[in-house]
Amino acid sequence: MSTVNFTFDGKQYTGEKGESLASALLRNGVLHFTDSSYKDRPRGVMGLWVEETNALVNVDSGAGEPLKPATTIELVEGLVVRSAQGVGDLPDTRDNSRYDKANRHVDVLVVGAGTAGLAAAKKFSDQGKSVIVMDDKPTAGGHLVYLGQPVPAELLAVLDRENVTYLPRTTVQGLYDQGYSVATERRTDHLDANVHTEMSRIRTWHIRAEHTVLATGAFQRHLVFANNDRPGIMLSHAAATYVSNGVSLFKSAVVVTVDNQGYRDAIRLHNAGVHVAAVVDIRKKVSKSSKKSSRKAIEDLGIRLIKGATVIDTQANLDGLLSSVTIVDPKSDLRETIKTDLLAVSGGWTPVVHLATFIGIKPTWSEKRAAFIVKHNDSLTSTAGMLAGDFGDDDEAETFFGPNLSSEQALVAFVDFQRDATYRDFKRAIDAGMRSIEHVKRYTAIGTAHDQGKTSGTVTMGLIGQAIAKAPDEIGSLTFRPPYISIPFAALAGRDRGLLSDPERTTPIHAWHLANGAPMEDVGQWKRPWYFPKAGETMHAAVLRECAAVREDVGVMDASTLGKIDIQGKDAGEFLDLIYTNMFSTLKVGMSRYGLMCGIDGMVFDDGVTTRISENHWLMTTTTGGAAKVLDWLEEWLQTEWPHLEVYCTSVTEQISTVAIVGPKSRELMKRLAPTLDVSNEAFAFMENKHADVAGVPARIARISFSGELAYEINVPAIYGLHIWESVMSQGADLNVTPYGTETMHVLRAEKGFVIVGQETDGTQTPDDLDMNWIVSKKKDDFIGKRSFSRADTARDGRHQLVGILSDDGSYVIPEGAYIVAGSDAATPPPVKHIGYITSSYDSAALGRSFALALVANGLARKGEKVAIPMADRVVTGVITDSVFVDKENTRRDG
Amino acid sequence: MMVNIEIANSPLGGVKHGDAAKVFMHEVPFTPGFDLRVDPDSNGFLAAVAALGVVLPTTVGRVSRNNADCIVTEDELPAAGGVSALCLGPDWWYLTGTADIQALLKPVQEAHHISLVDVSSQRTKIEIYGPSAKDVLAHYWEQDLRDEHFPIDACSQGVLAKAPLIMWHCCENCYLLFPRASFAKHLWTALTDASVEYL
Repeated sequence: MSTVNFTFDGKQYTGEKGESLASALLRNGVLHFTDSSYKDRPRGVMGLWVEETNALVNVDSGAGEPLKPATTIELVEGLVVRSAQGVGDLPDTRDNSRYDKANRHVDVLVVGAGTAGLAAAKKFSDQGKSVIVMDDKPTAGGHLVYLGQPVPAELLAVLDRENVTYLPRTTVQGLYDQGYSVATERRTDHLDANVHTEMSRIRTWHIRAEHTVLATGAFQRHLVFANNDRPGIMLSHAAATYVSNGVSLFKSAVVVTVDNQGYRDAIRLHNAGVHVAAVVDIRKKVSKSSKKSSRKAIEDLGIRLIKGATVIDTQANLDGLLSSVTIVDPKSDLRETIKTDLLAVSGGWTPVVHLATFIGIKPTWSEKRAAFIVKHNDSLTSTAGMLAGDFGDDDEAETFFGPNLSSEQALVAFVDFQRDATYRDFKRAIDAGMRSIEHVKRYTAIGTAHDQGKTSGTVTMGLIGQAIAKAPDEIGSLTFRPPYISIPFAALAGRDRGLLSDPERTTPIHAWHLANGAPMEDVGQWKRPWYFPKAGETMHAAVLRECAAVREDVGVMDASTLGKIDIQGKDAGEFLDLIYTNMFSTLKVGMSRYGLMCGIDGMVFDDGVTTRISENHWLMTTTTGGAAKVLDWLEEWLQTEWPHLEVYCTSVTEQISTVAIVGPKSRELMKRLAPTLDVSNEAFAFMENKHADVAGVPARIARISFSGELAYEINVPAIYGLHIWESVMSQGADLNVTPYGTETMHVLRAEKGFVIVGQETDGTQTPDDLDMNWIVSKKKDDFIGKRSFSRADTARDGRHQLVGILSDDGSYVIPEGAYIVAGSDAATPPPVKHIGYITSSYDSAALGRSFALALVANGLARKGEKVAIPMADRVVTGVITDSVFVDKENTRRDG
Repeated sequence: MMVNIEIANSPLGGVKHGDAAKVFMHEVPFTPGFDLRVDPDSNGFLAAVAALGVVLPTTVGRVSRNNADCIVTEDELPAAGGVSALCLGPDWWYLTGTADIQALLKPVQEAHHISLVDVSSQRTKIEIYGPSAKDVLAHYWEQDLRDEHFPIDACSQGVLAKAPLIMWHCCENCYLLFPRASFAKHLWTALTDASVEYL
């Protein structure tokens, strides 16, 4: 042990490294820790561990943490804490500590390293099982540690075995189905500040155990009497432990008890030099063995024993600290006030049933122990120790939670200390007719504080029982939910912060995009270059420049993120006919075709170009965001509906890197890149595919255009993607080859009226709604969605249809998402019925003005109609147009 | 297809990290890989087995091979002509190795309904080994890595640090990861980050 300095509420103290903050403060004479949350009543330490209801602190040193029980903080040099009056606060500074997660599979998880847990660990270890022992305290041994008694060496030795892992300071926070647990391990707070900075502060363990032993032990609980919350009133086990560990605050003590634990603690107090003025036992009679052991021991020490009595009220000195207690015998006239500065309360044990209740195991009330216990043993879960009702030899508790109180007394008799909830609050709930603990809890806030009713839960159940003359287990079941103690969000996040919070998917050309200053647009998890600004250029200027370069010279785009699915088999054509609305089986080898696929509801689901590589070999492309869902869709139909089709689908999205060169000068550039390829329109027509070496790499070149311009898509194995891109840049330098990003791509395709599934559609558009009736085959017997086109709804009046919108003010770009109203409503004050909304909106270099695409009710029949778009500061007027703005006759695609 | 390393780029540029006495990880660039789809009850399956010279395991999550595959020391290169077959689904194998797998299966493709797709560029290969390899992986990998549950030549698909990949336990304390190329950088960041307490 070494002495360390710490600060509490701005004052310096010393304590022993590793002892609890509560113990150190008590040894320093601090009894009045804080005031209560709502009623400003002086409060001190009540308990020993996480059951503590009063002594909360905000930790300012280290990583900082709000609302920690002082009983659970291990002293380290430089610890700085402030008492918290029920309200926590987080430091303003960023917590730079490391938090991580880990998974562990094990034969047996033992929760609790008390004697019962250690014995269970030994049993399973002896059987050759792998065992992990998790215990929330710094040292193994459970109550024996508090009692200052040695833990049997043969049990402690188990923790060192090869097949046993012991994790101290590790709280199992949740137990779930099939042996799955989540635990948090506090790894650095107890270490000196100069610890390995890369060690995670808290590790969240995900444990899958074939068997889980719950040996979680028990807490003592308090009794409900008037002024039961004063500093100087403690749970007896806590009081005896603190006093035995050198707390010398108390000259005399009164012990009030419902069981033999009060006797044992009275003896410990006596042995530590505290004058025990009386032991007040609610039990008149006890068993012979208790008489022989506990009662005799007290009498032998000359301690006054008052049988059949209890404490009903307490008094305080001017500092608010306990000065005396009033005891009564509920069945007689006895009423006596005894001067004392310590009242040790033994209200019975409350086993930690939390984990058991998390998985639906119901605790049962043991009349003998006056406690909810869990006796359980199946292949997945078993209980041991106090949780299972094993309280030791002579423990016989009376089911008693507090005496009858006057209405004045009830006002200051606390059921839940942290919530300042009194017996009077409780009584109001009962008088209002509530009987269920769940109702009483919500009416009174009992059990809703940081401790989630660790001690007050059973007390409340008992009080309900007392109030309506029923046993606690007739009231209902005690249930809890995870986490067992509060967890910093940072611990739950683990390493999933910043860059690691979500994968960034990048193409083989990504590094080039970054090096050339492209801001990135997030497309799902993909990072795609948005635009490529020149020095000092705005996004608007860059996009206009890129668009103009594509329409006049040649642009280059990284299209590697497009979803790609390799489809093979003799029935692939038939399969594609069923998947797409249009015909594919008639497609010639070497040709590509644009296809639209619908869901069974007839609504557009995805689109893309599919190429027939050879007779039985096809390559489908999907939208960037749709790749995974389309493959799932294809597999679902193949596996569940059409298993007779000989078709295999394989994702090749990332196998192939696609570089698109687009614009009137792309033919010249293509010729330079692939000198052996005849790039003339006659030899290499629109929608045709050719295989050729491009810059030394075997490539498939497709004449596909998403802009209306002459374009070539160069497809190579992804490892060559960057090489192709760089070759394009170097060979096209004198052609003004201009890299462009997603924004320019969007503008160019919108100018041509090409939809983006997910932008022009929201899952409620049919091909007809998109003015794409031409793509729905009238010849095919069936395809997915066909049946839905005969539904009345798909042909009803008022469907939203794709149109163009031109604002009267061509310099104004209407915001995407803006609502459209009829032109006649331009001056109508709200509310005004909208007729549609803007889906895409851009400034166009080709048009020299802004333009937009929109979905408008009956839009296809309303071309030429005036519309208005009410904005916050103005009403924009415009006209409905066709959705194709540039090159309606497709004169540009062949160069 | 031979890789022209003069102009090819692997997703991670052949990075290395760590210390073989604890945990070491590196990218093995340009590892060939093929997705094979074939009905295990078909003649195509028998023909593929015969052509490859390796039994295609029919239990999902098993690997059979006639190949070394992992580079436990940098000097020991795998033998030429090897094939490893990872069973990823009832009719799905991932094939890798030094053999010309495409050439071996070309005649089978012509005669039977099988699908063989070159995915060498689609995934890269990260090898992670050393006494702490399991611990590093277990920070993210939820599946049971204990040797009795994931023995040598077991493989599995899963998500590691949210990156989908194939994992293969290839020899003692040595695991091969085959992530999608687009996820490789993210995965590498996560793995090196997870290794800090072990180095």
